[in-house]
Amino acid sequence: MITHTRRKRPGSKPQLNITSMIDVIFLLLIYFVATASFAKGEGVITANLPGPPPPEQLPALPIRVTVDSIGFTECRLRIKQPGGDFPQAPRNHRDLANILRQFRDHTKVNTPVLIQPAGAVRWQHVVNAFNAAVKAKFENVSFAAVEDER
Amino acid sequence: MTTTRSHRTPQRARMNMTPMIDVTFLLIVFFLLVNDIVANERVEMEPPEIDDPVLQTLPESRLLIVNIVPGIDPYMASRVQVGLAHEFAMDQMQSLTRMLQQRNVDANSELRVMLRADRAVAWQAVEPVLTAIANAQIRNVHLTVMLPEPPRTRCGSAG
Repeated sequence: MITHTRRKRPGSKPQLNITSMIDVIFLLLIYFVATASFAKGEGVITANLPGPPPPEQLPALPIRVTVDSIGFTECRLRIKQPGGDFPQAPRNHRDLANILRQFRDHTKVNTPVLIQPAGAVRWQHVVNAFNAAVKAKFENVSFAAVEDER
Repeated sequence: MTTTRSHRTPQRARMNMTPMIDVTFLLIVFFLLVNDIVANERVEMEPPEIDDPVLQTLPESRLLIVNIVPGIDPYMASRVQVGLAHEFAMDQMQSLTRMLQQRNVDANSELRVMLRADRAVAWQAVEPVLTAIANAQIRNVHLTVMLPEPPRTRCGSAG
């Protein structure tokens, strides 16, 4: 009977070939760096566009929040209720949310809110005004069309 | 004079796979770099950054992303991109309405629109797009904003 015995050479240790592994790892690294896209975190606020009111129901007069641009970056906010201007003029969007919340708590009526920006106002301010109305717990918030500049 | 040929023991021929794998990966990287395969449904822009936003979670089903692509002047919009395939110039809002109407019918009137616009774009560029969406009888519209950054922890304020 012939038996195969594996000889061990004296002094030889098993070695891993690291070079090829490093090659592949670097290639994978380049691949992932090249294909990765670092997306910024985005969220959404819901703006359900109102449909036409039912015919048997009289449309409620809305509170109008006008947004006018001052220069390139700033804006001016005003609140108009059906009876006239609000006594307080909001200084910023946080102030707007507080005033609207006070009005909502006082009247306890879900009055529609119409955001009415001037054509030149930046989208940043429009969304901020919209968010202020939503934060004040108004449920019927919509946007007005751009008025013709005459 | 005679030459003698030494007889070696027969060896098994083996392929060295390492260079082949190297070249294969290099080719993959090359093609990924030269081809813009991954078309992004979300056009690169800076959505509005607002204080304390009232955020809502958005289901991914029946969601259509409408991008108002900023122009060279970020104050103006250059076009509207819907999903990956459709682009509309700013004077083609009726075509946009028709396309959205069709998509809404296909989605059993449950289509959701995620509207993305740059924070610097003027309202007069966004308003026609919102009107087109409303004319398409789509009521579920979601405005994209930047997520607020988490509050930074103060270092070295022990005590």
